[in-house]
Amino acid sequence: MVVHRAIAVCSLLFIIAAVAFGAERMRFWNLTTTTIKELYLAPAGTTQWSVNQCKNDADGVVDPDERLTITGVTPGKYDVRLVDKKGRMCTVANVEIVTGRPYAFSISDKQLSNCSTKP
Amino acid sequence: MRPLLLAPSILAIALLTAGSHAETVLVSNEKGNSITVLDGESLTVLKTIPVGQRPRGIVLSRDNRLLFICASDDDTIDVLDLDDYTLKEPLPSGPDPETFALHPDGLHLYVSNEDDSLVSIVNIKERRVVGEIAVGVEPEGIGISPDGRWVVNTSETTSMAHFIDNESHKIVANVLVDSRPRHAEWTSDGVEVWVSAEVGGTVSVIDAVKREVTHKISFAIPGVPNEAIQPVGILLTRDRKWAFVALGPANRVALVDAQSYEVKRYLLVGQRVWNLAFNRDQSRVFTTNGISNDVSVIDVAAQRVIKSVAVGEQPWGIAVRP
Repeated sequence: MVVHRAIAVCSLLFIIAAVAFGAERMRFWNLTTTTIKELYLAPAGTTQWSVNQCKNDADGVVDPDERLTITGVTPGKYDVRLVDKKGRMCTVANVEIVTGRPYAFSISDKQLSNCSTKP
Repeated sequence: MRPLLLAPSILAIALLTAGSHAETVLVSNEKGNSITVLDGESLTVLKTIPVGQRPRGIVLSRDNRLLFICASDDDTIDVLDLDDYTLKEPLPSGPDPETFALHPDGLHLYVSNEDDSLVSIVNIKERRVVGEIAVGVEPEGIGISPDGRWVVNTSETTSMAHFIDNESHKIVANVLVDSRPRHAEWTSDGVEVWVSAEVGGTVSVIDAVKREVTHKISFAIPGVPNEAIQPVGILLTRDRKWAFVALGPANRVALVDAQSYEVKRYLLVGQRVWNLAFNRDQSRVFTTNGISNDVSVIDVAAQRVIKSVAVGEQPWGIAVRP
């Protein structure tokens, strides 16, 4: 009984540690040349947009070359919608979000082709 | 007789060889996880060396034999031996090291730890962190006064330049500058500190004694939107005549008269120019261009760009080994 409990506690600790590690590593890397004011994620092909992830940043925006902690998502393919400082709203489809490396995904200027002015 | 005749020739050849020791330009490639080595004369790539993850700030040891590299995603400082280009045992750094500066004593590195709002002091010889100084949110630029007494650290989110007494390791003054200060550069005489503000789009000139902003330099480039003008790297000539300011996605380096604080010229370089380095005699400036993946070379006397050289992915830091 004691052994089973110990195994259960160890397993729980392992899962918590794994989740914590995974969460720690879920970061977006802004490789564009512009400051991003809003960033949303939705499972690819849906419109189930997340909350504005920029709220996770200390100053609420993601400057060029800055990292942003992403919360409330699991690895997979997502559509990413962002609003930059110039007022452009851009959507980048089918972005792979991964764990196990220092950043979960990045976006560069080349990917910002589907843009419009935010209403 | 013949050996005696040969001796002066051998000596001359030896002196010529020693005198012609080529400078090398060292570039950290933030996304490529590597260091590119360029020949400073021919401007060709000599080597590309894999290093730790997300290498950003780089600085030479005082004897120019080692290159210290902020490996931001590894939370360490890589140490590259420049004689054989091998990596030595890394130094501790505190979390997420981005930039650092070497104290004039050659023994201590002052490291900005962006995620923890700390400046860590690393003793190179003892290979340990010997001090931590709490600063503002997201510390970035570090500049140490020529006499080693004062450290200026900029914090991006707090928009301040913190003056730290290097004896007590206490902040003695906080100077408010414009938004997202990125780089602190002391004049060679220790009289002024120039601080760039990436989002604010300005350079603040701070009187190092009064610890007050005495001049503010703004930039305007015809045809370039203001939000694209994002000052980051700064270089000042030893004679304090000229300053070079990297303007990020404006793809320009501003040439500033360091006496009148007037912008004299904008030099078109690669995309998202970030950091700058002089060669030994300050006849050239090298720039890292993070989006175009190249280095631009500026002829200082001619005040023009003479070449661009392709390097690794997302070049960030730069240093010249004499």
